[in-house]
Amino acid sequence: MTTCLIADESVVIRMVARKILADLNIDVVEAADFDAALTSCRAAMPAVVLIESQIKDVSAQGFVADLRELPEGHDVRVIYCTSSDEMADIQAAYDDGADDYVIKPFDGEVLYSKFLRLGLLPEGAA
Amino acid sequence: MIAEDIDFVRALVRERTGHAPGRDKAFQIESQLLTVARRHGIEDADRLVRLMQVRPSEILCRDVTEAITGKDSYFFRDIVPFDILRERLLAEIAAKRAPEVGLRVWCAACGTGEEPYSVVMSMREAAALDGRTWEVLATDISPQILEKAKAGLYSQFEIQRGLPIGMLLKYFHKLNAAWQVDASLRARVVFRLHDLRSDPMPTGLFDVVFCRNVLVFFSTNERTQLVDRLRDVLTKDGILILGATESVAEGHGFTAVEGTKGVFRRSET
Repeated sequence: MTTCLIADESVVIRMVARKILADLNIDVVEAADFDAALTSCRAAMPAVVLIESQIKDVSAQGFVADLRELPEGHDVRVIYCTSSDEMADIQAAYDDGADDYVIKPFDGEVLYSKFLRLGLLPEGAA
Repeated sequence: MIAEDIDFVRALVRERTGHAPGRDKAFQIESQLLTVARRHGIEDADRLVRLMQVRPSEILCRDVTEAITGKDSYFFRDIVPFDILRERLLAEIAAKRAPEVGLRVWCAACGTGEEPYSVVMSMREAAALDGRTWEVLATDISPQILEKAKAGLYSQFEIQRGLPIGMLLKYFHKLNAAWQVDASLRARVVFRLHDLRSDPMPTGLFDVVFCRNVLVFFSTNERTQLVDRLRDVLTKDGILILGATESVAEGHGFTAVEGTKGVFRRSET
């Protein structure tokens, strides 16, 4: 089963994403900050990480760089998930190496289409 | 909503698609009806049903049917047809044409524009088309839907359905709380009103015709006629792209393109 790590300080966002992804048959691991997210990735590498671009004033950029250095960390799909819909922030995420970008609030169709496009769902899922 | 109204809508969908949602889907039906009602400036779902009963309009009936059958629009819907178009089919078609011959694509029943703009992005990204002219015609039966398509304005939710981040950055800009397709892309699509059932086909031949998730709304006879008419406007090796779950019956002059669902090449018969 595909595993997704959700890193977000909001319990609500983690819960909403978990519920949507469970419907898509995706296992979810949660982290409330980037340190916990990296520890989790070291223990078991997920197929995809859905991460807030900034948690408690810490940018996701460092986490993504560290993730890429880990064994098997290079192939992990990275999706930024933030409330900013500013072009500059989306561009910054792209420059950080994000594979895609989700703007909060999101719904099931948004996550479904992003995960489908990144090859994380079997054809015809959901 | 009362059960009779739900049954009326179920019958409408059955009549137009051959199958209808069960009574247990009443809640989802009502929720979709409300969405369509708001889009048309109608107060609520009850009034929408009343209007369809008293004065049935093609546009209302179609919108309701599409909403209930889940024919929502996505950018690059189903992904594979667009990938294969960009990576392979356009190159194959271009290779058979003299360099000065332009390519033509028709998006029939284009909906709110996600499909024709996805086509234009694919053509822009197709290396095989460098230096070659091409045009995209997009048609729909609904003037309101066509207006939305022409404006190329999408909400935060719409923009995130199927559009990769790279394409968003390259071809869209923010316009207040919405996102708009760049003018250079919008200028590449010619939008026109067209009813696939009753209007004559557009003039000239097309190298690629998209007619996705439309056949489901037609009766068996109408489907056969439509496929034959689409074949007539395709170049001799032109490509017909249907919905992923749709297909052309054998004997209608098409062969399936390998590795795809719903993609067919016109063949000689």
